[in-house]
Amino acid sequence: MNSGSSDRSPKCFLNQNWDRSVDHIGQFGSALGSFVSPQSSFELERGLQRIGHLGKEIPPQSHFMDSSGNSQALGGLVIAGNLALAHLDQLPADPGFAERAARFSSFDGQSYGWFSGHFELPGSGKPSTAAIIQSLTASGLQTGHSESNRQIPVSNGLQLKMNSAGPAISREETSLSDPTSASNGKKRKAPSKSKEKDAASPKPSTDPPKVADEEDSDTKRRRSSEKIHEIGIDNVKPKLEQNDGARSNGNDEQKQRKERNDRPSEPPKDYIHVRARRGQATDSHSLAERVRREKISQRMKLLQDLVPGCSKVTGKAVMLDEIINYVQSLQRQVEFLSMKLATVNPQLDFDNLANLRAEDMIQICGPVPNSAYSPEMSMVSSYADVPQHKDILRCIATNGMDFHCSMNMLDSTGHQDLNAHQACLGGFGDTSSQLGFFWEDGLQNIVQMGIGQDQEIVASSHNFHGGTSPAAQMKIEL
Amino acid sequence: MESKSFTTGNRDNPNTDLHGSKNMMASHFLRALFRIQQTSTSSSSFAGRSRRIRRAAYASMAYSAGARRAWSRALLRKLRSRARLRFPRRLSRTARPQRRDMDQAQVLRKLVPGGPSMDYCKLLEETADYIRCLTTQVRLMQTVMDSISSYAHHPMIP
Repeated sequence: MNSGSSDRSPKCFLNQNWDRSVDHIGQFGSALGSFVSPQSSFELERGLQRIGHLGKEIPPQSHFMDSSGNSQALGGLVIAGNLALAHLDQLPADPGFAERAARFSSFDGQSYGWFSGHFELPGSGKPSTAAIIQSLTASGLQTGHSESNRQIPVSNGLQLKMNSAGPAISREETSLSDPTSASNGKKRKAPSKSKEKDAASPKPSTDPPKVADEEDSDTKRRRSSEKIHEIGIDNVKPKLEQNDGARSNGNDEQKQRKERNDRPSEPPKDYIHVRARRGQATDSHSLAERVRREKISQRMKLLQDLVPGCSKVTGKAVMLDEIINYVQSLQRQVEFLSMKLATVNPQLDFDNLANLRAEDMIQICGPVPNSAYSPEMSMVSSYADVPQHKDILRCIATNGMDFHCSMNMLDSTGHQDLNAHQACLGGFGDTSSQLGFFWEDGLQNIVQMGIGQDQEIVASSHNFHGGTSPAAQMKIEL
Repeated sequence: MESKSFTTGNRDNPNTDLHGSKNMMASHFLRALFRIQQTSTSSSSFAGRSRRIRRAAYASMAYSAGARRAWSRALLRKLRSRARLRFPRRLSRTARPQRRDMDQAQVLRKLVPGGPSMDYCKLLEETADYIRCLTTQVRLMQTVMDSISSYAHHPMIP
């Protein structure tokens, strides 16, 4: 294998159509076996098994009509290709090669980007493997499938007869540790949750930093389950990750879009991606982000308590839906009730309002017998019979009954009281506005009573006892 | 607002704020109802009256929250400018095909007064308070409704 052949390999891939026959996979596996290094044999076997499964799943002449199928098939192919290529020492770290691959891979970002981001190649770090992957995928997508059995030559002479992998592979975790991460330089992947770029400070020991380093010839397979859902921003870049503690984060939060490394051998300058989920990001940006997120989750919890029926709902989207529905329903209720009140309003007359006052006075009289009341209040107390009193006290006793309580008390007043009230109120020089003030005064007391606090009662009675001054106060404040 | 003098007596109550605001809301709303009833003649339209009552409801909500809340401030601004209060009506008309976070936040912003000028975090906070206030107002209106109607239907005869 010379560089020429390896150079050609992506082109070969590009020009080839994927073979769909299943049985070739076996050949491939066996052929590969001789090339794998021990440490990555495990991954290879896994990958091969997976591909084998896929092969079984797919009928020999299955057709993948949709591009997603294509991409998934390609994913399988690519993985296999990666496995093969990963251990090809002959593959040079060729920036040009990488760039070409990058270019090819940019053809279709969407579907294949998804899985292209998922594999991490085992074995020695080769810059080109990722490129090859992408080129494979690109080519696959570009050229579609052909019926014929084509063999995709591997640079080292392995014949890869791959069939298009089935959908299963796309669902599977295809995390192969990336051997080429070193030379692949900066691959940035969207961070798991919020697409923030957390570049770790040079202390990613707790986080699996995704750093492109050339030291990872013995990187193991990485957990990419978290990343599987993170295609997000950059579809094209494979996720390179290394958790054996490659430190070196020279660069930082800069979002790098470059596909391949331009500097294959620069460990200290590689980006380190820190997953915020690990909770160890130390730079100010991610800290602020985390704080913000915690605040948001706090608020969401509050809202969960407020909105009925939300305790079992999890997930922001569903919660927000519930919240929106609830707010809308409340606003509709306000409208509906205002319509109802508009119909009822003509029946709402002074009498009714006076009732409120009466109740209020009764309440005041009840718990605080010693207060000096206005003549009006004394008159009221004269007809405050025991049942009403009991009612009121009962209402007061119930906690949390604010409006209902007060309104019940309103109902219990009879007509006779009204006359008495009107007479009394006349004594206060009653105009409708003044009446309104007194009424409000009483009403507030009612509401306070409903809440059932003695102190409130005293205060309110005191206020009421103050006569016109609180009313005047209220008038001004109004 | 007006019932500050009353709430002074409630300081010891741990629920002062809530009750105070409820008092404010109730008094303001009932007063407004009274005013509307006084000023509305037989010739005034039902729709006009209901609109005024609705505005009074939102006004009492806003007053009860005071200037502490962004939504109440925005609501008061709307009321004071005499602009026609535009409340989201017939919301079911907008079919929301895609429920993603973006759209949801936007929908929420439309619902909560003052929403468009808030960031997401603050929006959630204001939404919580707004919901609290809305529920209180709805309960108040229901209570008034019940009392009025029951009184009308069952006048007490001593």
